[in-house]
Amino acid sequence: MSMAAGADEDRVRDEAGSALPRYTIRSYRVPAKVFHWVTAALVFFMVASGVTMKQLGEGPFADTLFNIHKTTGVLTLAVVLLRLIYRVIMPDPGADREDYRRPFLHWMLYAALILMPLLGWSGISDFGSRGILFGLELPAIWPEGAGYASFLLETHAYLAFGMLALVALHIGIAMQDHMTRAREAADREG
Amino acid sequence: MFPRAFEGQVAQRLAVWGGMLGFLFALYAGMELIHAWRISEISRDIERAAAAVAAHAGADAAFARLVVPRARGGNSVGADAILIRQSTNREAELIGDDNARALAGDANLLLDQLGNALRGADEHAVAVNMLAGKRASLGLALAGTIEGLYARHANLLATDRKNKMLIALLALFVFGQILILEYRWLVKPMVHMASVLRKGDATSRLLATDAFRRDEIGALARALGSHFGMVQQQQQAARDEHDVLSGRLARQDQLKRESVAFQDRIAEVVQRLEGHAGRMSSASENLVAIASDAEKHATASAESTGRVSGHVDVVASSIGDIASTMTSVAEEAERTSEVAAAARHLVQAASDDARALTEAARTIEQVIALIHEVAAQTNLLALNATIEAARAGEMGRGFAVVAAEVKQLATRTSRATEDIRGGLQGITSASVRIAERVARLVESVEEVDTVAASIATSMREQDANSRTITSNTANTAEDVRKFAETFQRVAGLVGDAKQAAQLVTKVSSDLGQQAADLRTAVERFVATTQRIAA
Repeated sequence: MSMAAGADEDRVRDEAGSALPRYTIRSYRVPAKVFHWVTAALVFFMVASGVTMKQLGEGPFADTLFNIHKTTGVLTLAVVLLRLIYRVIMPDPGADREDYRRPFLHWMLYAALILMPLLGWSGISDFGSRGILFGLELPAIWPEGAGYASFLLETHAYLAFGMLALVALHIGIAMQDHMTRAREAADREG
Repeated sequence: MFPRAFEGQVAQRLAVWGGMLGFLFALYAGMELIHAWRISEISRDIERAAAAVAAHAGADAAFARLVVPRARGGNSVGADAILIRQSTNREAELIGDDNARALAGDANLLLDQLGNALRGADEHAVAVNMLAGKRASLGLALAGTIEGLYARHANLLATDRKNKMLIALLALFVFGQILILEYRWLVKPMVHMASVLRKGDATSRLLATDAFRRDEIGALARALGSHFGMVQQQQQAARDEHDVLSGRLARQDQLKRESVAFQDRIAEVVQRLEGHAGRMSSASENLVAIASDAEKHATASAESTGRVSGHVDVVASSIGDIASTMTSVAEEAERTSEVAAAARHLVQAASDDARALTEAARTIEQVIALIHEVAAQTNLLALNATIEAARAGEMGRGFAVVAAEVKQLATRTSRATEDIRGGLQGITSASVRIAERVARLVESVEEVDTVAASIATSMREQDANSRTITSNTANTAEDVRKFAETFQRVAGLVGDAKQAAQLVTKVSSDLGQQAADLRTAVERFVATTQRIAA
């Protein structure tokens, strides 16, 4: 989930008049990198645990997994919110540059990262099982027994796979970006 | 966000794709395992339910016998009761439900009561009725269990189908993305590079972009770029070499053309030089002949004047005799007249000689003018030859020497002709003076004749006349002496002229020799250059 945006390079004319590719260079602070990879790990864990607990369906192991999934989901939401706050406080180096762009895909990923936990939380609020690990209970953000639990949770599940597709796209574009831009970046850093 | 070591090389990309697809595959495999486990669990439950159904059916049979005890022996009641108890217990155990266990406990309790009540008919009927109710409840519980099992099974299958379908769809999506991206990253650049290589077009924009990649394609693009750079360099070098070679060829061609033109010009100059040398030689020979002629005339004139001098002396002595011997005046006058006639004749001859001399001098002057002109042209030609030799460079060095010789000869010729001209002017003025003096001599001789003729008639005026005659004769003698002196000088000048003419002859023969040398040198040069050109 590289935050390296602006997948397309800008082309400028140098003094000699020949077209040379000029790539947007982005460097990120350590906290930004940590946020990125923590989010990535949480997302993969959430998908794996979610699919597994659904497949198990019932039983004490499934119940434990449910609790873990809910707890991790809340943690993910917290991390994403912290990350957004960090981004507002500490913008990327070079964010004031004219050619700085954040592609649509990034905003979609942020939206999914926030919407996913909220959907799950709403579902369990409706369903009435807000208990998480360590004997804690989440506050209800949705009227209990409103009857939308299965709809909310199904949407949550489908959206999870849609988000995984977005992540796959993100990885591909980031690799494209990295392969073409890394050379100049290495020249600058090195 | 990528680690520093990640350069997007094919192996690294494969690792990323493998990780993505591996994650999905592991998820799918995990689902499959969980599903298999769940299915086996359900199957076991179904098996137990089936066994419970079988136990229930067995108990039903025993219960039926229990309900109609009269038809059979009393002993069998205990056995049936035991069978029902066992079946009920087993059923409850198989259902594994608390409700079913309670029901079974109740049924067993009732069965005990039934055993006790068998001794009393009323109690028996009540116990049988109650047992029948309990058994019906147990059957319902069994049915419920089976229904629950079915629902669980259906739910399990639906969830499994959904999960696997979603995972498979996602895997398909990822796979399609991998195909598209790898086509863009691997196939397209390769096809493009192949076309670039085929066309030899080094200015491809895509190639420049690819060169920034850090993977194999980037390395290939950079290698291709440097290859094209090298090819361009080689082409440039070949072009430069070709230019140099063609320039050298053009220069050689030019040199050859100039050499040929130079050869032609030199040949022409030599030809003209030879012509001039020949003409100069014949002219100088003419000059020598004319000089010899003039010398001969001068000698003759000297002799004539010598004789005139003698005759005038004779006249003087005769006049002296007239003065001393007045008696033989008539005879003497006669003799005087004769002598005067002879003198006139001789003077006439001297006059002719002087005229011939003047004529010869004019002819010599013409010849000298011709020689002078020839010498000037030769000088010019020698200058031309020097210039051409300088242009020819190393090859024309031989000409330069010869041309210098020719030029020197021309200068010497010119100087000699100047000398001759100076002598000739002397001759001309001397001969003019001779002519004047001869004219005056003729007058004097005529006067002597007249005087001698009139001697006879005017004897009286003889004294005075003889005095006049004496003075006139003295004048004549003076003139003759001067005349003789002039002639001597003329003879000397003519000798000088002859010497000069001989020098000219020698010089012109030298000139001819030099021209021949020049021709030889030119021919050798022509042969050499033709051999080099060939």
